[in-house]
Amino acid sequence: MVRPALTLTLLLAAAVSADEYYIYYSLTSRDLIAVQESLKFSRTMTPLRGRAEPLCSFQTQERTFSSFAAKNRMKLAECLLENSASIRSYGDFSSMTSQKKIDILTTPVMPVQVEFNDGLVTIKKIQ
Amino acid sequence: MKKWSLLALTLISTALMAETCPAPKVEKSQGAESGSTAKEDTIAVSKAAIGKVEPIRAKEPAKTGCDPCTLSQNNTIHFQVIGQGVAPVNTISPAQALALAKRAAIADAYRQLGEKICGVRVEGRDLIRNMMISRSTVRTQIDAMIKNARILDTKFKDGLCEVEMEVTLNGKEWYARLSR
Repeated sequence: MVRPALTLTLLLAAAVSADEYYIYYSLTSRDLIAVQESLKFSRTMTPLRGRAEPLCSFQTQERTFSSFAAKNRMKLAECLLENSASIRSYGDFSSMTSQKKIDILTTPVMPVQVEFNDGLVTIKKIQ
Repeated sequence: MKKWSLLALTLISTALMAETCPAPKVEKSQGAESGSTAKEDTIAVSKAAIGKVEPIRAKEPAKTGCDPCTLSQNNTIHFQVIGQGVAPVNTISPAQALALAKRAAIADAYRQLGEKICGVRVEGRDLIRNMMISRSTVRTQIDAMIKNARILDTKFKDGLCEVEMEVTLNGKEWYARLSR
């Protein structure tokens, strides 16, 4: 009786795996051309406490978050930016030189929980 | 005899006309005294009427509370912008060009939203040498935090990407913070 229950638990655990990460995204564009982009994430060293609110979910065949993030960087960035984004812009309009404009778009470092479940990845923000 | 009958007919007809077409009372009572006062009265009436109409017109938006440009505690404002981004010249494929242009367009859209919601800090400098402007510089700076901005539409044509973005400001939540 114990063995089937244990196998079922193990199967469920294998099917639904939730990891916690800190994610940061930054994008710099100069004169309407994207010049630098970085998406950084790191697994949390200690488990996070707090309420998890779903941010977004995607269909994927990937099984790890790193491979998913590498292939779907834009989707992930849009999801993070929709939650909150900080924009800093510097414009320089001079009579001597042509105008320059630099936009720096960043997301604050965000603790998230990532769940892979049967071809669907769900990203939840931990409050 | 004919003259008398014609005179009587004209008198009767004028009397009948006077009865059938009653003139306004104001004109009857004051017209005989002076025409100018009657005009003044009519102007005064029209001014009063305008005075009555204007406050009603001014009150209309306040009653309905749907002034689309001003945030209040009861309304909601939608900020909608179109950000533009250009693909770099040295891209290896059209897909990469689209991706990079879209990123730049998103950044531009966020900048425009920041401009609208939080404002722009402008700094101007003019250097005058020998009574002539030798250098003129205008610097702008935007620093904003934007939440819950949604991408509505993305268009890509001839290396230019346009991203339509929207943010909704609810007065109940944001009026107190932004009015400080």
